[in-house]
Amino acid sequence: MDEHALYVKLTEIFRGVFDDDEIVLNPQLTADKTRGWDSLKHVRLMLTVEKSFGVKIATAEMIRMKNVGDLAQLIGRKLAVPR
Amino acid sequence: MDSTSLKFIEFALLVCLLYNLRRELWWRQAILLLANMFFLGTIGGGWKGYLPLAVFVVTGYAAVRLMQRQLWRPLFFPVVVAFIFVFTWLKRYTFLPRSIFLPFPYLTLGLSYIFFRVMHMIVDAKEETLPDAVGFVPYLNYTLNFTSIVSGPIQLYPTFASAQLDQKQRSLSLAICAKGLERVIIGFFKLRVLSAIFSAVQHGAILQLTASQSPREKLIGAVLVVASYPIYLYFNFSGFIDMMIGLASLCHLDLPENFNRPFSAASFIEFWSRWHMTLSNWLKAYVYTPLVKELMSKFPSPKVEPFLGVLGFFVTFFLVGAWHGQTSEFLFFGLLVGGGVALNKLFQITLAKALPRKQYRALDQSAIYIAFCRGLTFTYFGFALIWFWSRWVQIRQWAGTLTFAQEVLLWMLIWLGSTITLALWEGVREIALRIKWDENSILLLPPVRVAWAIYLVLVTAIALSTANVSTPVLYQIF
Repeated sequence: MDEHALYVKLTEIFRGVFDDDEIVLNPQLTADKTRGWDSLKHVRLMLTVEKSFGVKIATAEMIRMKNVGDLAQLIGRKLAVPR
Repeated sequence: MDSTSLKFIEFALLVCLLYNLRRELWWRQAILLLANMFFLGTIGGGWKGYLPLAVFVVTGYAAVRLMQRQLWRPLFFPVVVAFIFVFTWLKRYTFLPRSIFLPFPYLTLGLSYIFFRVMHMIVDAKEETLPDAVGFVPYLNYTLNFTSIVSGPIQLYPTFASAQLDQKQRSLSLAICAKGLERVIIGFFKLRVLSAIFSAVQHGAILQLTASQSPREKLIGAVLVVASYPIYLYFNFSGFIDMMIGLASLCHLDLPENFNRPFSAASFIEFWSRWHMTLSNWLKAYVYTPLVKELMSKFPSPKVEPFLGVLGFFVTFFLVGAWHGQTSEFLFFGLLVGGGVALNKLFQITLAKALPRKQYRALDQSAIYIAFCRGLTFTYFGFALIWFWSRWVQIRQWAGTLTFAQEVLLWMLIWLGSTITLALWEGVREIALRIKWDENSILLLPPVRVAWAIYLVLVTAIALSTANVSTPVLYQIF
């Protein structure tokens, strides 16, 4: 999956989780700049990302994530690793 | 060795000097190990007293290494349960029968913080996110670090390893030294002067609180007793952490921040993202997130989701509170902390549903609403802390000195007083930071900071020479 397709799918996920069709993702986007992105929504987001992409996000990986760019890179790395 | 003493600071500075003499990895690790063992040696009793701690640390290492191997990962759950049990047994939690405890005195200092460090490593090892095979010496330097074993902060192993195990260690610049020493001076002042003052205020008010006082005197005394403790605790704990962060930075141990102006928080939920941050972050990552994720998988309905969050908050912050101690008072403190966060979340959910989005946002950003919420947060924290610093028999005794009306008035006064005081403080702080010199805030300019540090050293020296009161770090008992 290339980066563009990844961001298209992620945008769809974000819009569904936050119930906001106007969300536009960029790599620098963080939780404090997104309305409604609290700890509960963060868990829902991670769960939805895991199910949609078929990946598992570890606790330490979740802690290290600072923005959407980190999330996208993490998914990209996991999808690139042959199972 | 008392870690709040000048002797400890001298010891730490000597370690930092030796640590930075050579850049080789083996030298730095050896100096740290010797320093950690030496410090441990000064706080325990005989060899028998160290045995349980030694077994706990070594067993933790074995568990981490086991989880780093695929073959042993099916044992993850029993390993975690066993480790938690050993921790509660060594800490002598009162819900365990006394007959199973070890029959001799032993060192428990730092056990709680070691527990969090090792537990995170066990989980990360199982999830294959620990960097490479963990060596025994780095593990010891991480778990027994003399700058953070007493009262944290809880640093995660990858952060420790990336700084400490770097073959090419960066040199110690003048800027790092200056910032580190400034932090030590500020921390020492907060711990030895400010926390001592507020501790004295509280103790003085407690001694005078009797049934024979006039209603007005009783009310003032009760306000002082309740309101001074959170402030004392903040200066005591954050002051110590400031000292440790400052000293650790001189050895390139970049310890995480543990406080971020907690009394500025406008909600109890926000408070815990500003107070003892490494503890609440740890529990959010390793308890709240996995718990809520599991609940969401089992109960996927969007209608139930907010209440799963409330339950997750309650469990997580109950543990935040209950972790502090082994007695029923601390368990009750945990219930109050967990209950407070859960109620806060429920209130947010209810308000968001009751008000249109624009109105909710306007209220949320209203200065008066924020000020009252800030005051309420401080008041509730002060209330919950009663079970932190006293016993049931004392609480019953003090409650008996006030009538119901006086108790209601007590909490209203604390709420109003803290609302006004904290709002004034936020205002003064904002104005002070806006005073600029060449586009930089004057308070943050190096010459001003140096002058302020020298002033604090003088004030601390005068205070200690006139009334050298011992101010132990409260959090070392947890």
